[in-house]
Amino acid sequence: MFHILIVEDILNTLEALRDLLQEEFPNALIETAPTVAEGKEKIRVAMAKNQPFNIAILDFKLPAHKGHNPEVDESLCQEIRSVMPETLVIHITAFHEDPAVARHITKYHTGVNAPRVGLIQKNARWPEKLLGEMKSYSIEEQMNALFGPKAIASARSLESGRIGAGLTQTLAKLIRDIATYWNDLDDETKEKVRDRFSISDKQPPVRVSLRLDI
Amino acid sequence: MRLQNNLTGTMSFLQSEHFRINYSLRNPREGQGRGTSGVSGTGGLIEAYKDGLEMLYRELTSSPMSRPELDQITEVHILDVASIFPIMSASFTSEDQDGVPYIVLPCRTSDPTCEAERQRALATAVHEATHVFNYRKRPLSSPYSARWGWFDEALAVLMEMRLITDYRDHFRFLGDWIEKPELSLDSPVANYQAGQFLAYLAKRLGVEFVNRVWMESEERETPLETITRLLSAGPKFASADPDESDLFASYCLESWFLTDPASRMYAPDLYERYGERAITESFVLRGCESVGTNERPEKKHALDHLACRYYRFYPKDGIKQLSVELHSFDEAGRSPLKAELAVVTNENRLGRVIPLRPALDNTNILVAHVNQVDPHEHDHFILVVTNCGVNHRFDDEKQFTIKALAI
Repeated sequence: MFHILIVEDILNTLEALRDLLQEEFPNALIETAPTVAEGKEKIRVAMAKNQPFNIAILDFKLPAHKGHNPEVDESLCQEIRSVMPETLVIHITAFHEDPAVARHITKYHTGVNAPRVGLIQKNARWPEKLLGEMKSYSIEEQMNALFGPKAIASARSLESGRIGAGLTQTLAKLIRDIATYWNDLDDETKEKVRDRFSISDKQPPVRVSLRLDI
Repeated sequence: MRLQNNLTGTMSFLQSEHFRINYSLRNPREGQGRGTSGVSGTGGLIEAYKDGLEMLYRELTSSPMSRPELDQITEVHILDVASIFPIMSASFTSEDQDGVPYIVLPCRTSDPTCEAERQRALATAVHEATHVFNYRKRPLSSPYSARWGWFDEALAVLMEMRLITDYRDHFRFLGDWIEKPELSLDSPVANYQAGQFLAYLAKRLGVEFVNRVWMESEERETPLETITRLLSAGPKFASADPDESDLFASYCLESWFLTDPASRMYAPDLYERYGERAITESFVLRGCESVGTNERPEKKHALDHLACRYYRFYPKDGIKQLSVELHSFDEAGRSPLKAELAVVTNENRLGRVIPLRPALDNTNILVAHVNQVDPHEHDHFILVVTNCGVNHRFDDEKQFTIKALAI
């Protein structure tokens, strides 16, 4: 299940973002938190259940607790870096040229074990850009889990694929997602998909099937 | 599904009444050997696949399930699955661009004997052929199929249980069912284990009921919604009301008693293989002593929707009375948690079941009393805490503590 965390202190924005993502990712489990403390609790519970977040959308300025003033927070990224480094962190900011933002990216999102970061500039098209980034990431993650290096690690615990969701359902979900998101995917992701799947996109609906001839 | 010509040139096929099995030989009498992409030719793997596929076809199209016949031959491809999905040698069902389902089965197996390979091949074929039948009602590409994934797998496992009775291939994943009762029934990581719940449903209501859930579901329903709708005149699916018997909590309770022939989850062979289901904590009870988790806030336990936990109490030193409490953290009367205290007899069978009811002074506390503990009848007690909530958004992470007092 696609697991998403949103930490945002402006409740209207939080709810609007949650609704938008729930509509675009209807089977995703979306968790929200308005403060740093509540965000950390969500991370703790997710790790306890072995369901790390795939994507964390974090505001830059957040109150530590309810009633506190929002301040630049780096502790959530620090926490994610330490316990779920494979999570894609997306920061949405109106201050993308702020040196503090650049410092944060360097400090928490560079290096071998750092979580990937997406920086979305808050302009008129930011929701579209956010969704495009999330969809491409979702497809790439699923592709990695089935065909890439991550497949080896997951296969060890799968015992011939007969534990967990199973190959039929995992593949079916990926095929459904590719068909649904196809027009929003970036070119690089599309190319990776075509390596493994036959795509028929001349006219809607997009049809996707696994290539067995490789 | 049409494979590209670079494969079809060396392929053989075996046609049965309802399936066409495409494969290559590792060592053909003539032409290029297919190496790891070919079937060894020993042990009758292809024949076993054919037998399993047709066995399932007969089962699903005859009474009591009586599914309609498939309207075309199903293509089956025998491949080195690891050449597509690294390391995995699993079988799968998918669909081609025309929306026609096909099956892929592994040409290589690691079973130590030909007989083990044959039995596993039968089970695998039964499993995948079930998906093809299920596909007819719910194509895998449908956006509403995602929520039915667990039921699709569970139904395929149920068919394995019914048809492959000499060799319990499905036991390989029941270790998780034994060890993780706290996983939700419809958790995406517990699809195969859910076959146990369908087996319970089949025992209670007949396998035709399980089949109806799939066949009579409405497009946008979830499996739980369909089950609830079809049960409208019968028992409730899940209810936290201590005075209301429900299927899910009964399933959790009876699942503890794998060696009791009266239990609908009786499975001594499963018990022999894995032992009893995992308990969360065991306590020894002595006179005038209180035990449990509620004196230790760090020992709060939690349950997600449609999952359960087991606690065990051993009475010692001739105690006469016992009371057990569950403290939940929900608004009074709104908790989805149900708790039942079951007597385990000296023969390891299910004895009396005492539901925990709201305490008079505080409805956040559920309590049960045993007024006469009889050491000749009561070996120990099992407390089964079940989360009867069905919605992961509202019913997950329900925290509670337990406490027991002996006199």
